[in-house]
Amino acid sequence: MKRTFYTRLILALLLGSHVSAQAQDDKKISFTGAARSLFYADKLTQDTSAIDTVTIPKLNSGHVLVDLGINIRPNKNTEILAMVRLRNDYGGFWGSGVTFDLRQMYVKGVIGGIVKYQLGDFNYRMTRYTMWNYDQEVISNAPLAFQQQTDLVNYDHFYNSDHSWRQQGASLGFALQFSRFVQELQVNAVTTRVKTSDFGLTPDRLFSGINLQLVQSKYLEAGFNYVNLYDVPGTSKNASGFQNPVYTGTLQARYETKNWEAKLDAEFGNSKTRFKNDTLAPDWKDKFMDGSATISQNQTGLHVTVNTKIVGSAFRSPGAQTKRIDYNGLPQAYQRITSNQDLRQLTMLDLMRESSFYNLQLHPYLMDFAPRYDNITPYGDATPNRQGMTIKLKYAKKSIPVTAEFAHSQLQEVRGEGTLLPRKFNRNTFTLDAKLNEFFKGWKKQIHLTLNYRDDKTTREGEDLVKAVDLKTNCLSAGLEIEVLKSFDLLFGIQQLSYKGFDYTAVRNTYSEIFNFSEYRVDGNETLQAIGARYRFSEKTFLSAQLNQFQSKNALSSLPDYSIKQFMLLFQMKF
Amino acid sequence: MNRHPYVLAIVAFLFCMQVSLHAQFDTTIRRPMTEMGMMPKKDPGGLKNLQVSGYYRFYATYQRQIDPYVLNSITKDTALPRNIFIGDDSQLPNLLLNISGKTSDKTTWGFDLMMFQFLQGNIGTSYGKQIPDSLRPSIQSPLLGTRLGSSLGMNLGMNLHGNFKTSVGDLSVHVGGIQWVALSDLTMASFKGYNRFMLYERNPWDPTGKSLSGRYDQYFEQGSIEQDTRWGNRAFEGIVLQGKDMPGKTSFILMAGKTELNGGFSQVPNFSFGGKLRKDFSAKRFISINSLNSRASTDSLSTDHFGFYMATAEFNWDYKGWGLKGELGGGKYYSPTNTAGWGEVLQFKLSTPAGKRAPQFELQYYRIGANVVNNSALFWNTSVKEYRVNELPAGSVGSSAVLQPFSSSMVRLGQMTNNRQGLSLNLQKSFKKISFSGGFGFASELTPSASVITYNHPVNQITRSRFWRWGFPANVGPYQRYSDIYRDVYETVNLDDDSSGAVVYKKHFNMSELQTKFRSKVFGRELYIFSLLQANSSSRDFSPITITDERAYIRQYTSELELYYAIRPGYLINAYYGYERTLGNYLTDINNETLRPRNQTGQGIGCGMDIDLGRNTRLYFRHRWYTFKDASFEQDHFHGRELTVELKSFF
Repeated sequence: MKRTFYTRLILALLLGSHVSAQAQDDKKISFTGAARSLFYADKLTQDTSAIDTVTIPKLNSGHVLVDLGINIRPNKNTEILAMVRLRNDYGGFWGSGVTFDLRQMYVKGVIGGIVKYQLGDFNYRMTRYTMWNYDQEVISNAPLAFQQQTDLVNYDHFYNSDHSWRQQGASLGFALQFSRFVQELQVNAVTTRVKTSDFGLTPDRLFSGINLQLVQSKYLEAGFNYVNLYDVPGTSKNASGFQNPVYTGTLQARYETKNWEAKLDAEFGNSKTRFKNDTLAPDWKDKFMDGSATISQNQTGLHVTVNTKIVGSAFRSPGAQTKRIDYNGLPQAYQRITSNQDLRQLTMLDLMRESSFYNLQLHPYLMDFAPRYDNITPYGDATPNRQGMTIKLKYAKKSIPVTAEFAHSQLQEVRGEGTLLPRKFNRNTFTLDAKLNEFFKGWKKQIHLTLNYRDDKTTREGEDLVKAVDLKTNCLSAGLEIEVLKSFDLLFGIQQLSYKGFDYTAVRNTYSEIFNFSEYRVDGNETLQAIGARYRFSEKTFLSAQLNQFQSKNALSSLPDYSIKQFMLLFQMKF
Repeated sequence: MNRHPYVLAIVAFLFCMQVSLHAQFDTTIRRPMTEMGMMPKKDPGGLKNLQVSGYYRFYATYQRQIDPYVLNSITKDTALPRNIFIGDDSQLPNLLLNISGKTSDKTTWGFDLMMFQFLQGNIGTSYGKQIPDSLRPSIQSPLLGTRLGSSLGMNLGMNLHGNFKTSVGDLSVHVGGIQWVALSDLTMASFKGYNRFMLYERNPWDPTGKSLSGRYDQYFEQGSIEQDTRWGNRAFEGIVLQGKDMPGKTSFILMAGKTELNGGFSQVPNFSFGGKLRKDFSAKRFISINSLNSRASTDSLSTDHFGFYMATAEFNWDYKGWGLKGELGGGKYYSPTNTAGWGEVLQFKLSTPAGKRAPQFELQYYRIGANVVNNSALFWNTSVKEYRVNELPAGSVGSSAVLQPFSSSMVRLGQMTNNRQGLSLNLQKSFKKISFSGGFGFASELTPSASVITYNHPVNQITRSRFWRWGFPANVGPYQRYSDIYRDVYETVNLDDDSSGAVVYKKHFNMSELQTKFRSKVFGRELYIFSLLQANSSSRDFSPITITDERAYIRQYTSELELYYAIRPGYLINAYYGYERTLGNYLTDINNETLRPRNQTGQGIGCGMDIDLGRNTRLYFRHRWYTFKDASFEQDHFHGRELTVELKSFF
């Protein structure tokens, strides 16, 4: 009888709860997607006295593609999306060169007006230390002239600006609203399949997560997050299984007055990494803590942020530490150059436009990275074995069309690698974004200037048999967009990257344990320049033509210095 | 005793907190400082309208070959006694969908989707197969690997369009392909002729018309029929920028990309570019400058190039019904083996007013230099051996053997070739029930070219092309003198009057055509009768009219007659008769056994029916009895019958 009473009470509460249904479009079928036409004309020039009689110096390539998504709403609570990709490669007449594929498919909706769900393909994100898709290094802060091509790569790989990961599985969410003490408790849960069993030695691997976000008020929020990348036991003949649970707690506080605003952001947690039933495998546990405090003065537009963090050397979080770039990929254009057909190393130009280097799925281990590009935070904020402080000074005022930010990071390893001495990292960044046209009264056409500068330094003193580490990376980029006629812009961009120095790179085994080090020496620079024009038909549609010049110089490589000139024509539309 | 204190506590807590449950929606919840979960949170919107049009076309051919015909004398391959073919070897599909969308007032996009169904009996849950992950193509290079959707394809590919109005005119940009583009006759266009053709054999792209007899009625009235977008245009893939209503009544076209001759997936540069700048003075008066150029690398290192340049000035002037249209300019073909330089191109047409009593005349003169090559223009290349990029066999994707020159060709009236100048006079006159259109012309080579002539066979033309359905083979047939091209076959004639291998004589060509169209009503039902007579010759002696004796290397006479009668609403019967004679003289190929030159007779008799199945849907039957015989080359004969069924529905 008591059981019946409680059941009825809960049911009464649930049934009596406020059910809000999202207003649904009356149209049963609608269409979404994107289309583009892309053409490249490339020319390779090598700075060498020996004539290359093998490499094709001029390449033309391109395609037209349409991603056509069909949205079907069988009822007001359910939506189905199926998106097909049709692509016609340049040079194909009468239907040759055409490819078809399914790009994505999902169903989403609301159950009982309470639980929102999505099944199939979707993008998902949690916190910076649990599930976060960090931007790729070097090219993500490039000027707009280069971003047009990077945006295509990001689009193809479902990399969105919200830092979510494309996954396949099921997710759901609901919220409890309260009338007193706290406003809301949001609950999000997800399970995705990362790898499928081959019915042999490879088990099913899933990624599951849950997030509880307590919104106390507009001043205070707290959260609990749990994620785990794990092999499902019994789904293969392999008795061992990988598991990597991560637990974190988050705290956000905010207080503002008319002239001041203060924010506090913190996340802390721990992770475990183990391989069940594998006696040779390590068993790791470690923790992290990351806290930021920001004070903003509205009148002056100044914002000061101080961040302190400590991320243990054995902290592992696949959802946050998986990189976009897979440095084991090979470039498609000019993969091999010189008469000896030597492999060409990955460069900024390749990162800007080639899909072959990009990764789509979560990795259980730390992926390879390129120290010459980013030796300090190759895995974003969740890079393990880092501790230190970052100070940011930012100027941003609504009435002023200029924002600027300077950041200084002083970090070091928590634990030395191969030596007791930790590496020390020093980073300075500066960004400037200015809408210059707003300085000229009555000038309505846009003039947009961007500047980015990054200066990285890694040092470690030498010991008996261990050489001193001294690796520097500088990256300077500038972009200018000038609207000369209505919706017609001229684009300019330049990015210069230089790297020099010495470090050791870890050699890891299949369990991601370091068992050796190899010397890593670099001395080179890469320069990317662009000039182009763009006509904007609408917010989502434009036609752009661009000339790019890329130069690579490497004092330590057997490859000669070379340059690649690129003409690009891009017509892009989204709907 | 309370067994569930925790449940009670939670329930009480929720009750006190006055909890409500809801799904997370954008409009109902307060956004947390850090958003988590399914992304994006905002509905990105979408396109509410999509236009879909297209057609369904079922096409089947049953061919019965009474006598075995040698398709290839080397392999001794013969045409099969019976052949059932479902589908169209013109590569047009069963179902074609044209899908287009409008993302804004200024931008549209479109693509077509075609689906094939050959009814081969391969029953399965779907037409395609699953592809293992290891064989799936990559994002970067989807052509590599095993492609999905093999029964799906695109006919004309994808096109994206953008329009923008500016203060200096309306601009539009089209990217993708295939697009159908024309600049001018001597730069980029396809042959339309004088609309003298037979309607009995339907083209795959022919529309159904508003009524069953509408097509035939239009042909009688206007002298032409509705054609699809490709009529008079050339296939192009790339970017086309157009400007209209510009200041000073000017307009322009700029284009860069590939024509069919630049096709293929090799990344070694191979492209065409050009454009047009035009000024209009009135509806019928304009001048323009046109150019089309092609450039391809001879090898992967791009050490050398081949291609052509073409630039012309064009005008059209009308004065009280008199029209003068002209185009003149220059062209140059270049390659590592050809450095002949620039050549002239010019064409003039003078037309008289369309009077009530007198016929309307048109006088055409043209001259195309021997070294001028432009396979995208109206004229054929018959004198320059073009550089070949690869040795891929004709018909393969990227092969440069397709559309190679046909040597000195006997062509239709109005069709031009290089290394030739010609003059033709055409006239047309229409009455209420009968109309006439005809003409005669002559053309001569400018310099003696190869000792080879080619010609085709108008009677049983498409039937003959179906003997070799795929691959467009060259030099086939019992005497290796036929070459199969798109919906036609041409025959090669070797001449024997050179001097130790050097060609001495210029060749002269004569063309005569007479078309008659008759329309009436019999028992209240529409009756249409169309006829076309042709008499063409080629010789080394000049003649203003067709040579009918053995002075001509080749003389060919064809007569075709077709009839269409609407026996009742929704039903139309048709009949066809064609007769063709082709004779060679003793300066052409001589058969080793008969010791005689060509003596060919071809005949075709046909009947059929058009049936109206409803709005925009028609069923067509055509049955043809065909014969061909060369009395001198005895193996070159065939005899059979062919039935085609076509069901076409537009939507």
